[in-house]
Amino acid sequence: MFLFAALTIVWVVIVGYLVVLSGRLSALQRELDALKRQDSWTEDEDAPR
Amino acid sequence: MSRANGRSPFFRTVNTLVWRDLLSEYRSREILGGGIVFALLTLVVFNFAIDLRLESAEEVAPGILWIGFAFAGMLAFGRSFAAERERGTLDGLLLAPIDRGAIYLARAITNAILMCIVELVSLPVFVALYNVRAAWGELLLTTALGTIGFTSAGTLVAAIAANTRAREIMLPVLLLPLTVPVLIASVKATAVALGAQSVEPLPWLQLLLAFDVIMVATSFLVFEYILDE
Amino acid sequence: MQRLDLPPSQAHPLAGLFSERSGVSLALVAMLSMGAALYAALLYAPTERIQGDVQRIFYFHVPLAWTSYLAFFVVFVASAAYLVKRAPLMDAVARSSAEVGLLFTTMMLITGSLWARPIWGTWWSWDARLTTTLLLWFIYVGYLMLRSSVDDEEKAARYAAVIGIVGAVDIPIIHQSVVWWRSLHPESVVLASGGPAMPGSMLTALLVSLAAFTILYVVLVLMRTRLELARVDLRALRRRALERVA
Repeated sequence: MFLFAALTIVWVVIVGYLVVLSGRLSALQRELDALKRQDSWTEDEDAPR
Repeated sequence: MSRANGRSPFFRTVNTLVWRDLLSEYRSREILGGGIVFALLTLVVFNFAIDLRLESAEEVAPGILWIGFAFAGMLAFGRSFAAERERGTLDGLLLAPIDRGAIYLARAITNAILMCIVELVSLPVFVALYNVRAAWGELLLTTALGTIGFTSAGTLVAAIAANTRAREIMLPVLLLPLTVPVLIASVKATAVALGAQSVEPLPWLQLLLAFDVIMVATSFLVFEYILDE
Repeated sequence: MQRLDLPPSQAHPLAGLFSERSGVSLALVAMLSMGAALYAALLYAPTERIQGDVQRIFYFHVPLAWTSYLAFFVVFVASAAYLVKRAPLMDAVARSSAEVGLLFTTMMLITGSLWARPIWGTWWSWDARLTTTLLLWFIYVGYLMLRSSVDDEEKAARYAAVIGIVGAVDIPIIHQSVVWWRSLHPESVVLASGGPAMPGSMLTALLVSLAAFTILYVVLVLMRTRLELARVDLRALRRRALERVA
C-alpha cells in the first residue's frame, strides 16, 4: 500500500546514494593515493639534500 | 571624470552601449524579424493546439499570449549574445574601463526594447485573432512590467547559457522556473485587462514590480561574476 | 618530507570538518537517528483517525520538504561565499548540497504524490507548497545541468554560483506568486499538516523525524563534499603531473 511504497522509495534512494558515493569515494581515494605516491617519489628525487 | 551635461559617466556609458546595440540590430534586423514572426506564429499555432470555442477564448488567451512572448523573448536573448560572440565585440568591451554592471544594464535595456517592439506588433494581432476586448492602458502596463521582469532575468541567464555546450537548452531550462512569478502575474493581470476576470489586478502588478526591482538589482550585482577577467 | 603547497582541498580553515573521522561518527549518529525516526513514525505515533496509516507518510514528507529548502539555502550561502573568496571548498559544498537537495526534493514530491493519491484521489494537486517545491526541483536540475554543460571547471563553478544566488532570491517570490495563484482556486482541499491540533505524540514523532533527516542531510553533504574535494585534488595532481612531463 502507499505507505509501504513511500517508505521503500525513500530508503532505496538514500541507501542507493550512499552506496554510489562510497564506491566513487574509494575509487577516487585509490587513484589519489597512487598519484601521490608517484608524486612524492619524484619529489624526493628532486629534493635538495 | 567630469559630469558633462549633468549625466554621470555610468549612465552615459549605458546610453552609448544601448544605442550601439540598437543600431547594429537595426542594420541586421534578424532578432527583431525572428522575434515577431515567432510570436505571431505561436499565437496562430496555439489556436490549433487548444480547442478554442470563441466564448472561452478570453480565459485561455492571456496564457497563450505570454507563452508567445516568453518564447520570442528567449529566442531574442539567445540570439543577441550569440551575435555578440560571433562579432567578438564583448572582448573589446571588457578591455575598456567600463563598469561591469553597465554592460548588463545596457544589454538588458536593449533586449527589453526589442521585446517591446515585438509585443507592440503582436498585441493588435492577438486582440484581433482571439476576438477579445482590451483595456489598453492596463494591458500595456502589464506587458511593460512583465517584459522588464522577463528581460532582466533573461539577459543574465542568456549570458550564462551562451557559454555552455547546449545553449539552446540551458536558456529555457534555467530561465523558465525563475520567471514563473512573471508568467503567473502577467497572465493574471492580462486576463483582468481583457475582462476575463473581475479580480483586483493591483496585487499582481505589485508582484511584477517587486520582481522587477529584485531581479534587476540582483542581476546587476552578480553579472560581473559571469565575465572572464 | 615538506610539501611545497597544500592540495586545494586542505587550503581552507573548515577543511577539517570533512575528514574521515568526523564522517564515520556522524554517519553512526545519522543511522541511529533515522532508526529512531522510523520507530517514531511507524510505531510510536498514533494512527490518524480519518486518514489511517497512510498519514504516516507525513513524518517523512514534511522533514524532506524542510531539508530540501535548507539544502538550497546552503547552496545560496556557499555560492555567495565562493564568489567572494573563490575557495574550492565552498564550491564543493554548493554542488554537494545541490545534489543532495535534488534527491530530497525528488523524494518529497514522490511521497507527496503517494500521500495525495489515497487521500485526495489524485496523484497531483497544484497545491501551493507542492508546486513551489516542483519549481525548486527544476531550479536544482537546471543548476546541476549547468555544471555539467560547461567544460571549464572554474567557469562552471562561477556560473553555478550565480544561478544559486539568483535562484535562492527568487524562491520566496515564486512561493508568494504560487500562493496567490492558488488562492483563486478554492476548490483544492487544504490539507493541514496533521489536523488543526496535533496531539503531543504526533508532534514528537515529527520532531524526531525532522532532526533525523536534518542529520542525514548533513552527513550526505559531508560525504559528497569529501568526494568532490578528492576530485579537485585529483585534478590538481593530474595537472601537476602533466606540467612536469611538458
